[in-house]
Amino acid sequence: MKKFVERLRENILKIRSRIYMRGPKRLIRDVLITRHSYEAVAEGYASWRSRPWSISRLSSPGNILDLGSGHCINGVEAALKTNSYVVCVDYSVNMISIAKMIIFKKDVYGDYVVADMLRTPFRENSFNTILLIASIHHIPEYFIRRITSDLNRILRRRGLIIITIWSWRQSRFVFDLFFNMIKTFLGLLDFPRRFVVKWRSRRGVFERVYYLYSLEEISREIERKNLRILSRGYYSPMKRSSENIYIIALKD
Amino acid sequence: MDLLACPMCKTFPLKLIVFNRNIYKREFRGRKPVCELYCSFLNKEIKDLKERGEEPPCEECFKYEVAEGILICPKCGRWYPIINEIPRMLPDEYRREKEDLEFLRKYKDHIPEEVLKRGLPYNLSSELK
Repeated sequence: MKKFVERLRENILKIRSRIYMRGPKRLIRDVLITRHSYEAVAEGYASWRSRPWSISRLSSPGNILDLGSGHCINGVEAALKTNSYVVCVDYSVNMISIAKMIIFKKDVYGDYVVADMLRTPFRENSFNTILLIASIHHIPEYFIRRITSDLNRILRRRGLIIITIWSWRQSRFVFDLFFNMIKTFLGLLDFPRRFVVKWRSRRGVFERVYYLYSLEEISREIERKNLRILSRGYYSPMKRSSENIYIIALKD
Repeated sequence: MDLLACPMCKTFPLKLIVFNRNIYKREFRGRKPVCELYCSFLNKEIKDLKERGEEPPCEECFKYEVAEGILICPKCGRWYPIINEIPRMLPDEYRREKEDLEFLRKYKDHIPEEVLKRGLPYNLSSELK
């Protein structure tokens, strides 16, 4: 029986490699799908998520980077609370256009750049705080190590990294998780907690791809880069909102 | 500009060419010099300015936003457009050839020949022969 299952799995892997795009190419496609969706839903997203998350107020004064900022409501809040300079970075042009308006409206000392989290356009030792609020969960596992290395490069000594990601322990993912586990066992999926979440609007349905990491997985990657974790755990930023994982780490 | 580096090769600083700029009535708050390493307004390093005892004109710089311009990496030859005051520092895989070529054509009188002929990821070499 065991041999039969192994042989079956090998055959499926062979078929899969013929059908699917291999490795990074397929993962980049996930990133591009999500980017396209955020471009399309930018206005609706900005009005839906109009209040900053309290965790952003923990930023230390100095240069703040809001990476994967969306319309940058968290970065702006952090800059206001600490009287600091903020740079909002997102790969969606529409999101950054809204961020620009918010920065002007709130009279915050800040800038905005359209860029990708996988290739940040900054010199080393640039920032005192890096905010990654609900953004790193759009990055496939394959690229996570590249991101943590880059964060370490652009963060200053004694600088803070504040990360939040969706928790995978949510009832809405139960069925998907079950099927994903089977797909992963058969070799059809690389990461079992890859979920496609739909955004429905008048203009249509847009898909966003999420890679929901566990607290341990993210912590391991952070610690691998010699960043010291000050606090970590689960929290809900708003009433009725779903549970999130948070990590606050320091560069010694 | 004091923080921006090339997303592909991480070279710092980048060369800035301004096509148009907007002027805002803004009050300068903060300590001078605002930039730590590089003053793009004067195109000089801060340490050189300090050695000469010069002060960077932060109040003046603070009034301006680059409306349209281009950022050029002196090492790898990549260029990044600034459109509607927003720098677009996307890596090659996200760039759209049609939009990029349109940008180059629109501002070709302001862009150095080197970028027009050999700039990455796209250039006008085929049109300029």
